[in-house]
Amino acid sequence: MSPLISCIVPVFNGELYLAEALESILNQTYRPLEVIVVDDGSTDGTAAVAASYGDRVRYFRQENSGAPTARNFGVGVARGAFAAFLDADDLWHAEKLERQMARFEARPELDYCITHLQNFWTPEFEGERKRFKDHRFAEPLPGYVTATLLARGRTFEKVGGFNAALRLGDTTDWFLRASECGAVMELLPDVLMYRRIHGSNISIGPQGGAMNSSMQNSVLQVMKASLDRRRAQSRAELPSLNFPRSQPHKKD
Amino acid sequence: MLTLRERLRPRDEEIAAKVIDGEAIIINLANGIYYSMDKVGGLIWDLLQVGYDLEEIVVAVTERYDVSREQVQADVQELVEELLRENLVSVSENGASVEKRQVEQQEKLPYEVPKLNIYRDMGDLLALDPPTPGLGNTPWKDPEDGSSD
Repeated sequence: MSPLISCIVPVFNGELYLAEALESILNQTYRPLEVIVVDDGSTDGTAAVAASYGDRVRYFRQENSGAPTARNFGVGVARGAFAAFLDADDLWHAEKLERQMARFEARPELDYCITHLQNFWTPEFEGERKRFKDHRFAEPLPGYVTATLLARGRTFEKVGGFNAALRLGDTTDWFLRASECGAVMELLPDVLMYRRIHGSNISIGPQGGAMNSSMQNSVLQVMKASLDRRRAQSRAELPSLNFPRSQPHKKD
Repeated sequence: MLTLRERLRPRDEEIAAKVIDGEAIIINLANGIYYSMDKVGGLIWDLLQVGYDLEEIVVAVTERYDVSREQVQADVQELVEELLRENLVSVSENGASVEKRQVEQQEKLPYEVPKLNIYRDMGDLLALDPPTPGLGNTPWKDPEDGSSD
C-alpha cells in the first residue's frame, strides 16, 4: 500500500484561484492523498469554495497570522507520512506527486524532494508576459518554494517547521536549516509546478523578476542567521551547504 | 589602478546587500554566490554604499582603528579590486561628496585586515527570482491602461 500524502493549502483571500489549485491536487495520478485547506483568516468567499468540495477537503481556519503559521498548522493536523504544499494561486502538474514519490521509493535516505517550476501570467498581465518572453524568468526555474516541496514527515521533526516570525524569506530559511542539519534533498529536472504571476504576489512585484526590496532584506537577514549558526557550529571551517548546481530541466 | 578619489557604488541591479550587526552580507542575485565581510570590511562596505570615496574611507578607517594609513590604503585598494573582480561594485560616474559621520569612540580598535569571504555553496537556492537588468526599470503600467505592449 502506498503511503498517504497530506496536501496542505494555506490560503488568504484566495477565492479567485483556490478551486483551480484544489482541482490540480484532486487530479493527481497518485493516491492515497488528503487535502488540508488552512484558511488564514480570509474575509472573502474562500470558506465557501473549500466547503463546496465536501469531505474531499479537510478545512481549518486560523486567525490571520501568515502563511508560515498556516503551513505549520497543516503539518500539525496532517495524517500522512508525507507532506506537500500548494499555494492557493498555483497549480500542480497531474503527475507531480507520482514522480516525486518514485524518487522516495528509489532513495530511502531522501528527506525531501523539490521540482522545477514554470511561471505563468494571468490574462490581465499579458503585456508583462510579452515583456518577459526572452528572459530567464519565463524559463523553467529551480523551485525552491513550498509549492514544489514533498517531504517525509520525519523531515519536519529534524528541521522544524517554518519560521512564523518571518513573513517573507521563511522558505529560504527552511531550506537553509534543512541543509545545515544534513537533510538529503533532490531537485527534479521536471517542471511540475506552475506559479501564477498576478497583481498581488507577495514576494515578486507585478513585473515579476527582481525580488522586491523587502524580500531582499528578509533573505539577507536569513543568510546572516545561517552564517551565524554555522560559525557557532564549527570554529575551524564553515560547514558547507549542500545545494546542487542547476541541471537541465525537463518540460512536458 | 584605482585612484583614491574614485567613488564606487554597489551594483544594486544585480546584488542585494546589507550591513547587519557590523557584518556586510552580499548576495549576487544573478548567480547565487554570497559574500560576507565583518569588522573593518563591514565598515568599508557601509561607507562605500553611503557614497564615501576611497580616500575618505581610508581616513575613516584610520580614525577608528589602531593602524597606519599606509597599511589601510594598501588593504582598501586590494579589497576594492576584489569587489570589482567579483562584480559587486562599479566605479561611480557622478558621485558627489557626502556628509561625514562623526566618530565618537574613546579608544582605537585593534585592526584586522579586511577579508571578503566568498561562498559558492548555495546552488540555485536564490535563482527563483532572477534580476531583470533593463526590465527592472521599466515603469509599471496598470493593466487597465491598455498600452503595455
